Amino acid sequence: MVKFLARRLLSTIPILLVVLTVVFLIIHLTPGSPAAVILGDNATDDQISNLNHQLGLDAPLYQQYFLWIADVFRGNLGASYFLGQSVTSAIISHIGPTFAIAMLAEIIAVTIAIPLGIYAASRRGTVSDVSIMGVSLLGMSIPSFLLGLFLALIFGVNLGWLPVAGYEPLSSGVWNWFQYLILASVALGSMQAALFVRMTRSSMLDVLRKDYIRTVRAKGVKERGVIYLHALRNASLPILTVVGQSVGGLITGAVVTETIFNIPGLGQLIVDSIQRRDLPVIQGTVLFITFAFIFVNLIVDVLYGVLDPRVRLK
Amino acid sequence: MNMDKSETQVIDAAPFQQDGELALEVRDLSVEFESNGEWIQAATDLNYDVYKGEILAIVGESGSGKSSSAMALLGLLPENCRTSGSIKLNGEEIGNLDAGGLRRLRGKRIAVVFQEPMTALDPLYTVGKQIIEAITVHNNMSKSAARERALELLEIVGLPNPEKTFASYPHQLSGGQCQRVVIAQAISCDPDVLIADEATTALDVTVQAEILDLLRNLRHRLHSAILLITHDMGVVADLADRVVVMRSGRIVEIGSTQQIFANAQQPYTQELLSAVPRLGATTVREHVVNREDAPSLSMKNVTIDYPKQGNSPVFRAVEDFSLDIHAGELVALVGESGSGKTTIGRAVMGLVPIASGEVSVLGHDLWKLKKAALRDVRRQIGIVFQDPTSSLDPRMKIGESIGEPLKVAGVAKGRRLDSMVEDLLEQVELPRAFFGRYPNELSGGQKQRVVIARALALSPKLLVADEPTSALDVSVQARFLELLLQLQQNLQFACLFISHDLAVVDLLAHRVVVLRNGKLVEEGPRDAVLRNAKEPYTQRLISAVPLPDPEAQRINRERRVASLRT
Repeated sequence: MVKFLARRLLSTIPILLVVLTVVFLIIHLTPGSPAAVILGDNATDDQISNLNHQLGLDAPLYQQYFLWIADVFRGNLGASYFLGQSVTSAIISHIGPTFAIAMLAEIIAVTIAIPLGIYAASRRGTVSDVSIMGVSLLGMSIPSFLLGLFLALIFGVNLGWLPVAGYEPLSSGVWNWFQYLILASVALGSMQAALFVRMTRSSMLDVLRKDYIRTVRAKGVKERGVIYLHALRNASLPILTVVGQSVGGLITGAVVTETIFNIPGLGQLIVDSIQRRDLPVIQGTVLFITFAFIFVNLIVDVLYGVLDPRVRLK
Repeated sequence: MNMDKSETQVIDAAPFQQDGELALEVRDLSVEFESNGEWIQAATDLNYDVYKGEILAIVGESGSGKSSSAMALLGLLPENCRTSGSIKLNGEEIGNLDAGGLRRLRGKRIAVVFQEPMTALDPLYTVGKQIIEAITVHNNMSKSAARERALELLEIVGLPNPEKTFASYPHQLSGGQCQRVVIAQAISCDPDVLIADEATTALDVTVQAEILDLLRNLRHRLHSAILLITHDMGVVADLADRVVVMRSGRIVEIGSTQQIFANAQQPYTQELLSAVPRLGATTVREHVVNREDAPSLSMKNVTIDYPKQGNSPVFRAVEDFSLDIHAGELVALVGESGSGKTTIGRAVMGLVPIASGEVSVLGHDLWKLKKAALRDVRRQIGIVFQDPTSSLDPRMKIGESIGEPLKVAGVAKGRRLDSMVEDLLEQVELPRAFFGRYPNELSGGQKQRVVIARALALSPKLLVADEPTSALDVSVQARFLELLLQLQQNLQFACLFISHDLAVVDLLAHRVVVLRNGKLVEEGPRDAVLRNAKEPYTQRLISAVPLPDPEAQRINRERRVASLRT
């Protein structure tokens, strides 16, 4: 197990290097000078090139690249041009809401979707199966920003049960904090849920056809045992993969939902930073998100090993 | 016995007299499948009894309903099925039980062993856990007591190291070991009836012989009734007390094993038995091959490696293998699974790279040829694979499939192509009308004929046939082998025939090559290898093949057991 983990960790290093390079290139090759944005429309060329020099943006690209990489490996993501704080502390101050929404969305998606998928698989072809599949298709087809707007309109404006937009920190009370997150999480989670339902169902159907399930039935194990102890456990590997990969979708989805619900999370930080050409913040945040994505998938790989002895013992 | 169903001509032998107690009484059992809104009969009005301690074989070809009628006893049929009739277990009606009642019965009073041992166990749990599950589902037992019992069961089924097997996962075991585990699981609650549904079909002969011995021992030990479902007459002769012969969902004949083999009453049973190839039954045959000419296929010191994959190291599949096949000669390559026989076949077609040595077809070294020249040589090689269904394009008409090689090679097109295809159809004894049909309209045997017609389309000098009959029923297999022999005699191509079935090989081959773990064990004319084997491995392989004759098989078995002791 230790060897498996070590090998898996080592294999993330080249991925990180590629990501570092790609992030840097995308940001530095897109047009738009930060200095021009910072100084406003009335700035003279001299002022702009002065500021560029101060920010180190007039150095050759490869020099900037290696300086940045060296900084990153020292754990220094640089300082924001605008916020008056380091990129690291900017990320820390914005991570809370995004993390909360993503977790909540994932919890909602998993707890709704997996039981529904199992139910649909075990009653294949029945009315309930067809309806579950129909609803999930609908869920996959509605973009989360649209669903978010609908939810805000119904529960926020018309019914008045929940705040339409905004955010309160956890320190202002759990319910206060929580009520601002519900709509965004539901909007974000429903698309994932639709995907998970379909994945769970097809994966379960695949496993239920296997010979060993027939053996388990022939042993006289109760249907519940057949489904949960044997079928679900075997079906969980592909489900786990999809759940792991969906984390990426959750973060990109958060950019949109946070904007709609005006929640000061990482999504909003990125959007604002792009508008302000705040290069260090964009680079740092994208890198951080990538890192989080790789980390989650590393956990998924470790869980494979826990669930499947064939992965572990190879 | 209640034999009032006059339509099904049932000839019953005197009931099995072990102690005369009935374990299972099946009356008017019918099984139907729903397909596109229609009910299709899979089994009709079956009547049979099984006594305690008796082994009853149900034999029949594919589609005879033998398997689905047995699954009906357990209530393990798919949802689009319905059954009717009466099933009594120890005198108690179980045919009308609900799902819960059937579940309590399964594994406790009727247990089953399936065909594919490698996929019959849940890959995510240890063997021990799965056996404990089988025990505790039906018995209120402490964990440690169940563990003790599981270890005892592993010992009973002859696994050498029960403690180690207990902690193993299924993928760490061989096929034979997995099947022993499945059997251990099946007998864990001392069932009244044990169903073995083609339980040895997927195993190598030597492993099959061991599992058959195990079942024979268990019968004495447990006093259960064993229902043996099989298509293999050798297995029946080896193990069964009585035989039920089924065809198209009906029972054709019931009798004691002696009676069925020596004195079958029904024409179908006689036909079925005569179709079974018997190892050692064909007479000595002279075959003259012109060895002056260059061989059609020549392999010299061929070594084939499968490259390193992930953490698994390089695997040497074939080592230092040499073989010549001349025109008009049929050489059989035999061996158990993993012996490298299929790999050699693939190397001959140029589908697997060789690590060293030389493979030449018609004098051309396959691995030195340029692409275009290789294509020309490949046209001289015909190929027939095991599964005819997956080797035909389902969306191509039969005529198109057969004509494709002719078209690709630019031999003919249009009218001339069609008439050539019709000739080929005739050659494999299929009606010309099959030209416009699709593969799904044909039976397995017919499809395999189409495959061979396609392989012969370009008049190849070499035919490679990899287990061409193992997906076919015996009666179909017999006709197919006859056809192959005839074609080979007429067309005089060299043939590399890859098979695990020694009886089939005995029927066809001029020479036999025995492989084991990628190495050549023994090679020579058919009679020298199959009747007078020098190598102990070949002898073991031959004696493990069950003979489709109860008396001969008893002698064969005793000789084998004696030789294993020494």
